[in-house]
Amino acid sequence: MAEPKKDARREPILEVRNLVKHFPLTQGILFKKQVGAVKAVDGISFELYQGETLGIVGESGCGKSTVAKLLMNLERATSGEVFYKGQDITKLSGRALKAVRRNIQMVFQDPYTSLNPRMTVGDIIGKVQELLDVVGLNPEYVNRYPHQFSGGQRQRIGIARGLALNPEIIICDEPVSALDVSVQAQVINLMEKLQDEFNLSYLFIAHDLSIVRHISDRVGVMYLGKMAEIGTDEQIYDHPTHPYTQALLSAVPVPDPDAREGRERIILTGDVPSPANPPSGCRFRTRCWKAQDKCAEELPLLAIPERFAGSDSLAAHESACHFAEEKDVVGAA
Amino acid sequence: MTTISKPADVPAQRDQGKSSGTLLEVRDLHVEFHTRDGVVKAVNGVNYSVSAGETLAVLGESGSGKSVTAQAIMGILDMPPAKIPQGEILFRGQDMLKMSGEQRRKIRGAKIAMIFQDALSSLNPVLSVGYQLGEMFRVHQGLSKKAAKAKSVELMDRVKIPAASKRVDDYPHQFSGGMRQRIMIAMALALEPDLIIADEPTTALDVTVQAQVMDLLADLQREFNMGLILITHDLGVVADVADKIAVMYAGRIVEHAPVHELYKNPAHPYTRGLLDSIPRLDQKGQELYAIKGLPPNLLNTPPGCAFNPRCPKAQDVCRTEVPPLHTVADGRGSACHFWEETING
Repeated sequence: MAEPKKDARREPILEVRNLVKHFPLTQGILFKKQVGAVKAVDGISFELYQGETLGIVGESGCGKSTVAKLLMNLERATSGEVFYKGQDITKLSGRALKAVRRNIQMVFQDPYTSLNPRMTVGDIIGKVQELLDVVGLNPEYVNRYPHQFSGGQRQRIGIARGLALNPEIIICDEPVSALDVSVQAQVINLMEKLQDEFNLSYLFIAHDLSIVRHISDRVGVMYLGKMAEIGTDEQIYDHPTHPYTQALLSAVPVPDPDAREGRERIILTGDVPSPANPPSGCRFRTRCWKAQDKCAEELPLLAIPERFAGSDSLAAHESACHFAEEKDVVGAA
Repeated sequence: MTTISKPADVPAQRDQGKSSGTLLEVRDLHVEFHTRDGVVKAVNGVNYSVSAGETLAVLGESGSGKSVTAQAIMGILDMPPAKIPQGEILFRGQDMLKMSGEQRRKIRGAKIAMIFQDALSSLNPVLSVGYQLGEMFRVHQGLSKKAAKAKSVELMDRVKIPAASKRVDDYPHQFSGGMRQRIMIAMALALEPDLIIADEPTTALDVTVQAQVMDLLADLQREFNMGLILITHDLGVVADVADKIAVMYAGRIVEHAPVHELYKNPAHPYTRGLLDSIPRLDQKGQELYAIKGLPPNLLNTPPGCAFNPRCPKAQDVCRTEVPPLHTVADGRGSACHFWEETING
């Protein structure tokens, strides 16, 4: 397990400022005109420090995977900046972009479709045998094809490929959600070991809140293209102040039948609104039990809520809610 | 068997349900698949039972045989390649494997209904949901189109789909994932079955939607006093809703127990390993316990206990002798030679 790695004075290795991605919606076949936009990511800012793991959680459609693609420059950002060691990588192209990509690698959810079926593992990874050893696979497997491996082994290959160029940052998009429980633990342990060994920074995107807590130093919660709340794992899980985070945490089933009665469940009504037509003001207000007129009129900013400002309580972390208040929903305290 | 009258307005009590006896009993069920590469023994002697009002969770990883068992109960296995060489599936005391196709069709849907993981591919994309729901009433009860549609709206209301009367003519793609799963539940409930088999009903859903759907399912089960077989790999969901659990590994039940006992004190090393390998939401743990190795290839299951290559407790006897299901306590069993050591930590 990683020791606490937060140090406010340290320079972030990756700095994301006001990142926006709108996918245009068009109408017409010959003469396409834009009739709207899917606001997949709508103004997101965060930092990633050397050697830390930042977890990003949220439900499907909240934009977390788009963030990963933007950071890799697989999608061009509509606006905003991503600074890697002080350099804005959203504007780069050609050779300069290639050089940066060497240092930012990605591990995908589906280890099968993200490996080329017609290349042997040796071809895929490069300086192979050493790396296979690092990720706990038999180096003799060099000449095998992806279909000859199990899911967990494939994900190890995906990780080995990510490591091949000695990157500093690895962006993991749902790296273990396709794996069985018993294999999941093996891959998580491997990722933590490699982080210590190579001083890697992880951006760990997942929908499984328990796994994110386990591996992350800090956690950001996304809802409909915006960051709802961000803080250390303890701040988010034990002292959440945003109603969405509270609802999300309370909905996670805990593997303890004795907790069945005692836990309070916040059951949200309705579905996530369409990102093509998000609600005015706070994005969460249509499903929020605290919503008032102010929430429809005024967009809450991601900041330390005034009532907690200057306090040394763990509730004093950034939360984008007009009526932020602490609530223990996990029942750890 | 007469048509079941449901205590519609009296919320059924669980204990009362239990006294009405066993609904379904699976006895020594074996299922094989004959493939080009050889015989895959997917299910090797499974036993379990469910009573009215009771929830049995069948827990296992991919390839453990949990879904194949369910498909055998429903009678929806493709035969060939599948074959049931041995076993009985008793529904209210009658062996369904000995019934004619006609008799089984009368039970399927009407007495035992199934909910699948993927609602989108289980619904016909070119027919409205109202038509598909109404089909249950038109085919099984001979209702007119109009009456069937009215019933469909009623059902959609019951599973809390907002503005049901307006949405009854919509097509599956116009609904969100959670709403589609509600439609699947509505369809399963349509003929008021005695037993519902839910195969990973919430795996494809987000956590907040999962909570809504599981809540709904539990409410309806209580209201109709149905038996529920919940097939899942999620130890969290199981802890929330199950009365008893059967843990499957490589086509066998390795442990079965009431839910509290199993979580408190597992009697099989595999169950213990599973419980130790999941990260917890309410505490930041140290390094996760990982069960070493991989689940076995069912073409070539290891001799003796199928779990022995991955088991920290394995001895010589585990490599040669298949452990029988030892009785640990009343209603509790473990298929481990060393269950006594395991249960004591």
